[in-house]
Amino acid sequence: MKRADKSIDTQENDYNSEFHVAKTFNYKHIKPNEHEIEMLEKKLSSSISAYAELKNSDKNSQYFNTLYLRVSDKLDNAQTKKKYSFLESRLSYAFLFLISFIISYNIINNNTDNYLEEDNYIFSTSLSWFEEEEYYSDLIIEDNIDLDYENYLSNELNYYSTTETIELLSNLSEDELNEIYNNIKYKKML
Amino acid sequence: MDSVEDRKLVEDFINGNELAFKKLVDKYSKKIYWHARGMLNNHLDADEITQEVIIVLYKKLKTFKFESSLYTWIFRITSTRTLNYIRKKKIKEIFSLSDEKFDNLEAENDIQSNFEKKDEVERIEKVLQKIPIKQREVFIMKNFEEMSYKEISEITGKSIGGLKANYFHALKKITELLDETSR
Repeated sequence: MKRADKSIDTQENDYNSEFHVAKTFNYKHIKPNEHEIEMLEKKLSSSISAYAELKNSDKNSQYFNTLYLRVSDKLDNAQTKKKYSFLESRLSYAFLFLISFIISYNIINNNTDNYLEEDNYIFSTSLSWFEEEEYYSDLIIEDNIDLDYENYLSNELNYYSTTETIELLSNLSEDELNEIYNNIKYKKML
Repeated sequence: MDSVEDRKLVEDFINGNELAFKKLVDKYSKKIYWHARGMLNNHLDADEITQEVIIVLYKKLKTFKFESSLYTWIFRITSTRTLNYIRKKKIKEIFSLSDEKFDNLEAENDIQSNFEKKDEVERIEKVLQKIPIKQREVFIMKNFEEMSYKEISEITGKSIGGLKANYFHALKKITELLDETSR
């Protein structure tokens, strides 16, 4: 049975009847001499009594009298902060939801803007020829519709959002660009 | 300690009587403070610990089941908080996070500022900081708080034999250090 598991009274008896090894301090078998302890306590008695006087001094009363008030204030502030933080968290969540909704709404709306606008993108190679046929039939096309070459290319460049495609188009030679134009003009696939 | 009175006060507090809690604070705050003060040698730190312990009591008193005396329970909380504070301070010092200049400032309302035997008290407080924490704790509880080995053992969970050895070595070391400072 370990020493610490024994009752305190048994521990007292064990201590008094055997040598005690202070393992933590690597001292050899030392049993503190009660007489030696008394001598040391006597030496320190003036310091110990000075400390006791300090503890019992009336000059402490101001500190201890105000202690409870200060702690009460802290407890009250903690309660109020708790209420506010709860309220704040609800407001924060509501605000966050609102922002997310606005952003999501705008993203969805903007996505529709990525489709061809009738004004700017007369031709798009992303559409199949059938779709373009339908598109044409819905439009009132003027006889002298001008397939502006330069505008067509810049619109195509604007239409495609990928940098790869933009790079490809911008690196085409004069002849290649002419070929593309003719293909589109005569409704051939790119 | 008057456990009947303590039990009544605790029950009254649990039933909503804030005045009962104030009476408990008035009864035990000095013991909490002086234990922290002895361990930390600093009024501001001791004040912080005292306030923390009182707040813990306010929040946790409902969970206290009187398996030990209230005094023992409060002291255990105080001892643990103080030891943790000392450890935190040591770690801060290692990483140079502590504001040493502020640690040594005297608090305006330091309890010992108007005390006649201030120098003698300061001497022993400084010497206490130089001995190991375990020795310091048992010395303070034995001499400044006038506890028996039995009470100290209940609070700290240490064996009486260990406490006596720690106490003896604390006495020896403190005596030596005080002799050195007086030369």
